[in-house]
Amino acid sequence: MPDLSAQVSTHSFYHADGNGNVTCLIYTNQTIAAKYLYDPFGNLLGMSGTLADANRYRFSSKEWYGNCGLYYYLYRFYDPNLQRWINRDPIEEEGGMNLYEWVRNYPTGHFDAFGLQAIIDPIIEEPIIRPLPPYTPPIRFPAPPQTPPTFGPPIPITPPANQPAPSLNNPNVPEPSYSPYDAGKDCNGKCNPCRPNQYWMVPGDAHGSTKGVHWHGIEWHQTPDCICHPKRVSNDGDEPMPPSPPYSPPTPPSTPPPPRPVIPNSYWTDPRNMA
Amino acid sequence: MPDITDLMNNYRECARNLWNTYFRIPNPRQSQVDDAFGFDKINELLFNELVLNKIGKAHSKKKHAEPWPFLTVNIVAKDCPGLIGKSSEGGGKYWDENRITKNAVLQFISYFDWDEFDYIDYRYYKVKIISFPEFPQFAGADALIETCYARIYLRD
Repeated sequence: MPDLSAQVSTHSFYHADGNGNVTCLIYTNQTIAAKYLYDPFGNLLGMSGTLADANRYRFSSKEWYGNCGLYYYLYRFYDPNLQRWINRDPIEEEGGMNLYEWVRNYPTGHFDAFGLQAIIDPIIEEPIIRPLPPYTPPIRFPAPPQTPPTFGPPIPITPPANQPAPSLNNPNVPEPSYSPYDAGKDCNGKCNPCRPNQYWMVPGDAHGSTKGVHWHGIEWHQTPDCICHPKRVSNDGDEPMPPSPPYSPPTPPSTPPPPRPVIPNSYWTDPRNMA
Repeated sequence: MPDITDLMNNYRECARNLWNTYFRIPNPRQSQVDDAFGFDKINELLFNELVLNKIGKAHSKKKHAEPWPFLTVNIVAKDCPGLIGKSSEGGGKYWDENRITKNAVLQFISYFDWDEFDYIDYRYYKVKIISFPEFPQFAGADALIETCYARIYLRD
């Protein structure tokens, strides 16, 4: 085997901080060949030394592409100026809602080995940012069906007696829940409306009715922060029941999405790193 | 006008304790909800016995959404935070924040809590705005005022 050291006049050795950021290169005679200073997000604050410009392995020990100002993390490119990835997260929303977020915006307590996952720096005792909760898609309720206007005889508002609540007719239809929920906001920041109010007939006289039937209902009241709360309402005497659309349970997707590859939680247990 | 806030608080404590102890439904489904309306019947009786009867207005009747014409709500301070009810697309109400001043004439409708199936506190007075000089467009609307900011008086 040829001795390559004979072709190289001097060797220099990498030194890095606890997050793997290359801070300097040192010659064998203990003199500094290159020195780097970074901000927490990888922007170069200053560099010096004869090899400083030639060396490409810098912040996070990753390869620096000076022409485009990016670090190459093997799976993704990172732009320290924008402080985010320029590529989407390969695991999509399973890694969090923000597909371009880099080390959870907490670079002094995390590092990312391959551009796949932020890992808590073991040197930092207590991570300040709590782990992200698992993503759960929002529940969407379909809009009530639109019925065309009819010009026939007027439809009586009061339904026949002994009509049970709609969902109780059909055991296949799940019962609506009357727990509070967040209706969310639209793109203009306004609250989305709550579900439509719902009313149903109950046999027997109550709340002042005299016709052998009365009605109950749930009306939704929304707080300024868009939370919808249920409110009980009932008939006042013999007043007719307000119209309400039939309950439409949320429909599940017709075909379940294919399973996605799961990346282990820790870099140290990732089988790709076991080789 | 006599201040009957203590009388109202007496009813408030009785009604909320009854609900929280014996009627509360943590995760209400439609088949369970009808039972909760039984509490509303008892609640009407409680209000009649603990308030109306003691102010000489026993068995007075009103529609649910209408105010008691002889119960006036007065803001204690110069003004206070409140919520004004606006009709919403689904038929319910959206409650928008607004300052309510001492000059507003308010009539008591009922106590109000956000989630009527879980623990209740009767934290708000639900009132009808009869007049509101600073915001005349809100006259006739419903409003919510936290009980700590107002007192209830019996109108002569």
